[in-house]
Amino acid sequence: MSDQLFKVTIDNITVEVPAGTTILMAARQIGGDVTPPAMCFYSKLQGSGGKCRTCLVEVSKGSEKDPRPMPKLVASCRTTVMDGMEVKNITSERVLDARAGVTEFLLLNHPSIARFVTRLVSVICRTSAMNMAKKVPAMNFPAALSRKKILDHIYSYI
Amino acid sequence: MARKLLLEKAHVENIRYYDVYRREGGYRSVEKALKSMNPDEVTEEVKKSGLRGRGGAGFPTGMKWSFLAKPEGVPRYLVVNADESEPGTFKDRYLMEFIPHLLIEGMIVSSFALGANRSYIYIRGEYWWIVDILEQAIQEARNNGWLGKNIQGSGFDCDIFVQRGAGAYICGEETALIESLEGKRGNPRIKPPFPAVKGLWDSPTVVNNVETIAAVVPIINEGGEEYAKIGVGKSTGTKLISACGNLKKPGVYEIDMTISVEEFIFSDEYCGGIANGKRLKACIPGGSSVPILPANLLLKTAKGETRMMNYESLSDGGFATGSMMGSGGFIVLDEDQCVVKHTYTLARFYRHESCGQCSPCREGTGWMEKLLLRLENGQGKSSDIDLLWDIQRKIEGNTICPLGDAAAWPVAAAIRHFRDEFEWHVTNAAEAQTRNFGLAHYAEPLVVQS
Repeated sequence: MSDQLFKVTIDNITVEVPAGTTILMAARQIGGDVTPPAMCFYSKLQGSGGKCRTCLVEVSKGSEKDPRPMPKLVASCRTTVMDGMEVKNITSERVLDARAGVTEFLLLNHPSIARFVTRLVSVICRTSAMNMAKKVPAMNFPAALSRKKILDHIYSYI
Repeated sequence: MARKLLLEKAHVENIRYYDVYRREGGYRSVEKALKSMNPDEVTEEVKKSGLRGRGGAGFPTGMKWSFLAKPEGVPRYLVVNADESEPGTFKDRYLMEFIPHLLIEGMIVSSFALGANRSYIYIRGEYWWIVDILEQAIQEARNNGWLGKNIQGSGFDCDIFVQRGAGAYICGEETALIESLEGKRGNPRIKPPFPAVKGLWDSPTVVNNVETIAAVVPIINEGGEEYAKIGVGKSTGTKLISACGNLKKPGVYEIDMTISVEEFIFSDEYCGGIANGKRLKACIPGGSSVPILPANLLLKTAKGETRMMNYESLSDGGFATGSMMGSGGFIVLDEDQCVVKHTYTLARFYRHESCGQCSPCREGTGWMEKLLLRLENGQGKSSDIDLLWDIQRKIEGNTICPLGDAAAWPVAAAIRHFRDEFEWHVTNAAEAQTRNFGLAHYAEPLVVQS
């Protein structure tokens, strides 16, 4: 089983990965903007991931055998690929919307929100796209942040 | 008079004890199943009956059973979900308290169908006195040869264990229940793998509601096709409804899903109308986590048809103008009740019961509670209502388990149908502290656009 290769299409880029690979690891093979951000997932730690929900992706085609799309967004770090699966990450409005929502929830009750926003955005950008990290300016937020400003900032980098 | 299957004998004196239960025709289904049927036939009967899960989602039970993986040499388990913690739902308590042997009889037949030799009842910790009732019933069944090794000489072994929960709502979710049963913290697992493949102790497991398992008894006694004749369409059989709120006669009723909502609320056979001569304002038809409906949408669907008490009719119109059958917790609000306060109470419940595992639910439920408290206390802004809508939209569907959805739906429905009441709380903050918004147009007859 393990030497079997599965074809996965993520954001219209097709890649071949061994069976049992997660969507996130397949996307990391492609790299670039296609990689979903992941915060609670650590590849070397068995059973990690699935909790922070920043890595949600839309599966628009389940597999070659069962082409039905998955009704809900799935956590890419815990979903294994199937042969012929089609995944939408940055090409799906729904995913970007959900991800911005999740990021907002994560920032919500953080005590040092200003520092955290900068760090979180840089973490997300680093994991999602190496080249994008360069674009992130070292932002200094004012002490009191409006929800809109935080949201605008998040939306502009996800 | 509606037909009763589950609660038919519930008020026979001492039906709680084995002797009376057996005399009234108990354990016939076990005799029938073990002696004249094989496990696949039992599953086939349940499939034919069209029985749907009574815990809330309404998934066909027979189909759920047939999904159970059956690898060689691996034990299979049946777990009965008696962790009934949904506000407004108390039908399983009634069933277990009055006729515990019905549940045990259903469990033996279901275990036989699934090939499970050890079955569990996971009961919520607050039902401490029911644990004793069940333990005693199991002991009686064991003494009379209905449990243990080689039941009634059929060669089938089955034993039932009662496990108490510690009072967490989230343990009613099937994977969290399995985690809790294994002795861990009740955090829902990420699916797949589904419990039917990898459940309790990594073995195939079926988790069913108490009422679902109890309904297996009349199905086997009368045959699946006979059972399917009761009710309408895909809503077959009878359903227990636990009615509460501002009603003349709150309580547990068994309905056959052919009556209308209006009849259920106002007829003397059932709830007997709204208490103290008030008028109906709103109702949650299926336990706290399903959308609330104003009176006009509750009695008639958006198309102008009479709304019936069954799965299809209650969910007619989707979430925009409909609701869900859910677990059957029928909560009625009269004209004196405040929807904002009511929604706040539910939001507080879900904030308290969120397991804190995944971000949207952990953070979002608390945020919604704070905003609703602010609105309720008269310090809200009109932007808070839009913010609430935004939050619930971002929670729904993005969480690991359905608790996030369950927390988002009541808030969404309250804003969708009662927005003017929320706005009134913002504009008339001082007045909102002393008097309620009242009925407004919620009880007016629905204008059907053709």
